[in-house]
Amino acid sequence: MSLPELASLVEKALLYWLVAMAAVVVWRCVSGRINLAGMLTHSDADPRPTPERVQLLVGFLFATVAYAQLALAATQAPGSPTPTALPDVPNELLVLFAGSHSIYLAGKFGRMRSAGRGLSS
Amino acid sequence: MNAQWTSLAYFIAIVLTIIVLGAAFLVFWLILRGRIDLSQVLTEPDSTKASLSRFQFLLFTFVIAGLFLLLSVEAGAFVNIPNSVLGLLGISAGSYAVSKGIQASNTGSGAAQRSAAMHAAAAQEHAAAAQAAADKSKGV
Repeated sequence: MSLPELASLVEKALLYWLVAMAAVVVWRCVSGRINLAGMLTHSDADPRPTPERVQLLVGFLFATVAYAQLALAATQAPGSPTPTALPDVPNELLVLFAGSHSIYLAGKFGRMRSAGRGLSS
Repeated sequence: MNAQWTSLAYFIAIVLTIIVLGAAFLVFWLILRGRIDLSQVLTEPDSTKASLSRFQFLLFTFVIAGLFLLLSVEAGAFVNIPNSVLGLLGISAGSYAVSKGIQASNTGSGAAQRSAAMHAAAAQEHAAAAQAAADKSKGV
């Protein structure tokens, strides 16, 4: 076995390992063995989901799936050249992602401020 | 001499392969056996609720690393990571840092207010006790 073949073997093995790890993590999230409770709430005291966290989760999932689809479509299409780099993230997706995070941070800041005022009064 | 170096490089590559793949297999095996506990992997240390930022990092790691490895296997060499992907990761990491900063500053000011209130209450108690002692001594 030559060195390039060995490198290719390691890359493939790591790819399978990553897929297996992802499968274990997803399965444990679905079965409740990884704690996901409270991810969409602002604090332990208030169990209601907050809109800024919901929109961040939706925006983030959308951006991730869109990028993965873009990368696979650009490189797996028949006749496409051998990839030399991960594909660029479109500017629209970056703006959407940054905007979603800004809304989340603004919401969090506002809630923290209002909670702080409640504490002092 | 060249053949010697080739043999040495081959030997080192095999040793590194065994170490990397052995560590990967060991971690996976320990997770499956429950010796590495993943139940709190998304939970913040000072809270009981799962963190959205940690969830993002976890998903990003799987997606970006998976695509990177997939394209590298296809190309036969490591592919480049463009700046826009790093920007995406940077936005996520920056948002996490700012979020923690907001949380820490609020916790800090809340704790300071609680501490000030406790000190004020203690001072009031001391003043009341001193007043009572003064009244008592006057009466005596």
